Parts: sequence; structure tokens; C-alpha cells
Amino acid sequence: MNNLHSEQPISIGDALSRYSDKQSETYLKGLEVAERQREYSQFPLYLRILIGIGAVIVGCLLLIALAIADVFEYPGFVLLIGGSILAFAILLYRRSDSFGPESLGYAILQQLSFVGVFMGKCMLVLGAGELVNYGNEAYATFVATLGFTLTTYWVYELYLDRLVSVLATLFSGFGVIVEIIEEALPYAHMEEVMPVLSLLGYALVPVGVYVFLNPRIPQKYNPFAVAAILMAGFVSVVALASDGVGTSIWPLIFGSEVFHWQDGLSPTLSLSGNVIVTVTCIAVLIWGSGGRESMRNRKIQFGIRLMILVGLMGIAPCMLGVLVVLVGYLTNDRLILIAGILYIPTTLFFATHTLAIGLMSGGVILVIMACVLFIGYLMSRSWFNGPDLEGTAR
Amino acid sequence: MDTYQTILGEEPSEPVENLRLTRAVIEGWLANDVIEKQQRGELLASLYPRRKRDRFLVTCWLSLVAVFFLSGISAMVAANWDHFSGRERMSGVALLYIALIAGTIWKTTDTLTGKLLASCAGFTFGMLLVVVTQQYQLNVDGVWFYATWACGVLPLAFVVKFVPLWVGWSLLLRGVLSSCFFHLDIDWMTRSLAGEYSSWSFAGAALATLCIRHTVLSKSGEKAAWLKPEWPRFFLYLELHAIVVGFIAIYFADFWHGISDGRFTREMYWYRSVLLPGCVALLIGIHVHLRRGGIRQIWYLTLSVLAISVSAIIVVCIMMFQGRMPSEVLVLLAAVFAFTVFIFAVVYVRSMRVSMRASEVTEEVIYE
Repeated sequence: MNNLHSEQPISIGDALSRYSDKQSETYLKGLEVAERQREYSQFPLYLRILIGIGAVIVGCLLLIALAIADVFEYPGFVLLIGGSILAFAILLYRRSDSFGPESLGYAILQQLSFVGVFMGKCMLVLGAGELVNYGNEAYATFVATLGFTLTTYWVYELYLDRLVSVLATLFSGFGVIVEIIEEALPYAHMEEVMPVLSLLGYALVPVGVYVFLNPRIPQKYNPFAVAAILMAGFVSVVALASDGVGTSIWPLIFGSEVFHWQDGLSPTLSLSGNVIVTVTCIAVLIWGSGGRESMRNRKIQFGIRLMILVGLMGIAPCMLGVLVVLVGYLTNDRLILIAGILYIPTTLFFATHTLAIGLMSGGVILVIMACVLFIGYLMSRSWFNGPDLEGTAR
Repeated sequence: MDTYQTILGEEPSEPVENLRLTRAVIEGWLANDVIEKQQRGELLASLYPRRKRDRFLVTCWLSLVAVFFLSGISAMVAANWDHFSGRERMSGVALLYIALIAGTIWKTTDTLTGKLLASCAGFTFGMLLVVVTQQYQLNVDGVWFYATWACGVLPLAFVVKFVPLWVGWSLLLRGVLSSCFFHLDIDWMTRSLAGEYSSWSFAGAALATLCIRHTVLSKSGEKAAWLKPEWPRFFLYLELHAIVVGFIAIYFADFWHGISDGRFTREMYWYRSVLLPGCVALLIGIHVHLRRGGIRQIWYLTLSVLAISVSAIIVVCIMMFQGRMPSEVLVLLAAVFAFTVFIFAVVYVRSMRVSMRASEVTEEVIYE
């Protein structure tokens, strides 16, 4: 068992051969499961980027040609053409599979298909926005983006296309929510709308993390999960920067002489982001430690308590960064890990520059977070040198 | 499985058995009854060896403490900035600078901590300059400010040998260069030259940096291993290509309008007639140089092909549109031309990839 704990990374084949014979059914099933999880495109990224940039340039020129020909004067016609082009592009993409990836036909069909998808998506959004009455553009744009995302998500096996489509749908979805709030509360200011938006943004965090981590959900839904977390990250930073939403409200008890706070900021809504992110962090910690049984472990119990303290007293977007780092580490995903590491200083920049909560309030909250974490470290330092405690899966 | 690898695409295709074990695979096996719960625990233990895991955890934990604490303190200092006297501000920042330099010496420049402390010292030097110039109301211009900052950071960058610090220094150099031509921006007659001259100086800086890097790497070998990361080189090539494509577009538009209006001999600046072919030669020269680099240069080669394709499309569009609002047929023709260019570009890069890989394999066989 000694080699089990070596620091060298082990391969899938080595791991499987520890528990089953190479010819056995279990071994082959294990390989099949691993194979299903890798959905790498055989077409390298630099070629896809070249085709993508080419498609955008050609698509833009064709859209300009249509605009000069006054096609955009007839929104219904634009919708019809956009839909037809999108359908044709999907057909071409399917047809390209019959050619080998190294053939000229494959390159031409792929390029044509990408041009079609780009044009079709643009025309659907533009046509839908123009077709409806003034004030309903947000709804129409959302329906159009949702439509093309649902049409292309399962066809184009391209990570970035899926990610961008889902992100566009989520963005337009948030536009619809703003529209609904403005209709319900015509005299509402943005600082009253922002907490509700941020709450919805934070609600995407557990959804994204669940889809990303659940082994039963196919890999093709990872772009959806990443888009959900990206959207949550964006909304949380905007809400923090503009109205201070996502910071715990405890410094209010010190009075307003030292701490300045955004007027009209709802403490409950502001704290809801902290609660959602903290609960998700705890769930990921438990999952990462091996499941519910790991909660018997004193280290895990201590980690949960520490997370509750820091999460509820701190700044939610910073905790979101910590959560992304945790997810990246637990799934051995370098890009997610680096994204989390870069997201933390970004949120700190906004936390220390937003005037909504004041520099002093932001500074004190951050120092308190640091102190809690440091005390936690001092209390648990001996555990890093001692033997592992019972209860975890490891 | 791995987001980076999924986006990047797989090349070459490895059998699944040889791929690195990840948590997602282990969870997938458990969910599909390939392994049992206890075996999953054992595999997880091998995936996160205790020593490595604890080291990672402690590093992250203490980094978070440091980052939160420093951000908090800086926000509190900023909140009370007006309450400090000028002398207190200067001495505070100077003390911070000295402390960071002392920390660098203590941790030595061989460690990552030492390198990061030196980078922070370089940033703090700029803060010190801001405070001093504010305190004594020196009213300095951009060139003086950026040049002094760059000069202050240069010794640190030389000693520390840390790529991110050199990238920061390169940005400061761009600040110096763009400030040099700022006076041209004030007069409307010379305004267009300000952008052109600063872009040329940026291109020169990028080219010089690439040449110096190449020379140092080939002469010093393993001693200059810290210079090996490819990402700064890629950004330098990206900057160079973007500037050269921009120049080709501007100079060709001037050239073409000069020819079509018959004003060529009167209004064409002499240097533009030299620089247009010069830019084209530079673009092709870079491409030829990159072609010799083998399969490892494929990303650079793609960048070069992209720049050449975009230049070709711009040149043809300028010739077709003649500086007027084009008809839909002309734009359609331009789109067809762009489509053809990109098809050729993809086919060319793909064929280069195949031939480079084949020659690489042959070389490996020869050297074995």
C-alpha cells in the first residue's frame, strides 16, 4: 500500500489494475466510464480559434451586406432568415462528421457552419428585439437567446460555444428580471433592485457547483455549470461594487460615526449571499472529505465552524473565490483553481474601493476575517504534524 | 475532466489508460459500481497525498490571511489618509519599501516569497514617487514619472529574475514611450503622429525584447531558465502583430487613396512609402522565422497566419470600397474573399502541423 501514498500522479490504468485484472469486465467498464468523461475535441484549439475569428469576420461582413440591402427593416423576415441560417448551419455541422478531420471538405463545412451559427444567433437576437413593442425588448432577447442555446447546446460539442451561449442566456435572463422589477416597482432605485438581483446571482452558485461536481451528470453540462458560477461571480462583484451587497452588516452595531453604509440596503438580502455561499462551501468541504461520515472527523467539524464564522462575518464574493479554489483543488482542475485564485484579489479590490460600505467598514471586516482565519490556523497547527484522525474517507 | 484540456483540445490522442487519474473519474467509478466505497477512499488518499495536501492547505490558508489582512489595513489607511501629515505619509511608504526590500533579502531571491516581496517593493516605489511628488507639488510630467519609476524597478528586476516583474517593467517602459510623444497630441496638426510614433516605439520595444530574450536564452542556457515561460513571448508577438497589421491598414489606405486621387506625389510622406513594404516584409519575416521553430511554435505560427489573413482582407476591402459607402454586392464579395482566405489559412496551418510533427518524429529517431 505504500505506493498508494506516493506523491507521483497515478494513471487511470494503474488505478484500475489495483482492483481488477486487465482483461476483466470491471477493468473495461472502468475504462469506459473514464472515456465517457473525456470529451476533448480532436480539433486543436488554435485551429478552432482561427476558424472562429474567420467566422466572425465573414459573418460581420455578411450582416453588413444585409443591413445595406435594408433587410433589417423587416424584423419578421430577419427572424425567419436567422432561424433558417441556424438550421442550415446545424445541418452542415452534422454533415461535416462524414468527412475526416484532415480533409478540405471538413474545414469548409466547419467554417461555413460557424459563420451560419454566428449570423443566425445575431439575426435571431436582432430580429426578436425589433419585432416586439418598445419596452419588451428584454423579453424578446431572452426568448431568442434561450431558443438558440437550446437548439445548439447538444449539437455543437464545443466548450466555449456552450459557455458563451449559456452566459448570454443568463445575462438576458437577468435583463428580464430587471424589467419585471421595474414594472412592479416603477419608482424603485437601482440600489433597491440590486440586492434582489444579487440574491438570484448567488442562487446560481449551488446549482453550478452541484452540476460541476455530481459524477452522474454528464461532462457536457460543465459549460452550463461554469457559466452559472461565472454569472454569479459577475453579479456578486457588481452588487458589491455598486451598493455594498454581500458584506455582513454586523459593523452597523458600532454606529454611523465610524462606519458608513449604503442607505436603504436591506441587511437580510445583503446577508443572504453570505449564507448561500457559506452553506455551499460547507457542502463542498463535506463532499470533498468523503461524504457525511467525514463529519465525525474533528478536523472537518473545526473547518465547518471556521467557515461559518468567516463566511457570515465576511464578504460573500471573497468567500465565493475561496469556494472556487476549493472546487478546483478537489476536482484537480487547474483552470478553475487559477480562476478562483485570481478572483479573490479582484473581489478584494472591489471590497476596498466601493464607497457604498466605506473604506473603514470594508477594511475592518477584512482584518476581522484575517484574524479569525489566523486564530483558526494557530488552533489547528498541530494537526498538520499529527496522525490523521478517524472518520474521513482517507 | 479538466477544463483547460477540454478547451485546448487533445493533441495527440492518448489512450485513456495513460491519462492522469482525477477525482471526477474516481467518483464516476463509484457511481457506476466499478469500485467500492473503501476503494474510493484509498484512491482519494493516493490522489491527495497527505504531505502534499497539508502543504497546499497551509499555503492557501496563510496566503488568505495575508491577503485579507493587507487589503484591510490598506483600506483603513486609505480611509484615514487625510489625517496623516505629508511627512508621515512619505515615511510610512518609505518604511514599507524598506521592509519589503529587507523581506526580499531575508527570504532570498531564489524563493517565490522573495520574488513576490521584491515585486511588491517595485510597486511601492511607484507609490513613494506619487506621495513625494504630491507633497512637494513637483508637477512632474509623465515621462519623468514613468522613467524614474522604471529606473527604480530595473535593478530589482535584474537581481530577482522574475518574469512577472519584468512584465510589469515592460508596461512601465510602454508608459515612458507613450509619454515621450504626448506633446504631439496637444497640437491638432501633429495629433495623428502621436499615436503612430508611440506605436512604432512599442513595436521596437517588443522586437528588442524578443531579440534580447532569444540571445540570452541561447548564450546562457540553463542559467536563464527563468526566461523560458512562453506566455510573455506570446504576448510580445501578439503586440507586434497587432501593431504591424494596424500600420499596414493605415499606410495602405493612405497609399491607395493617394493613388486614386492623384495626390500620391504631393501628400505621401516619404517614410510611408518605405514603411508600407517594410511592415509587409516584417510580417513575412516573422512568419518565416516562426516556421523554422517546429511544432512547438504552432501557436505562434497560427498567430502569424491570422495576422497575414487579416492584413490581406483589409487590403482587399480598402481597394474594393474606395473609401466610400460600399454596395451590398461589394461587401458580399469581400465576405466571400475573407471566407476563402480563412479556408486557406486553416488548411495551411493544418498542413504545417502535420509536416512539423513528422519532421519532429524523424529528428527524434535520428537523435535516438
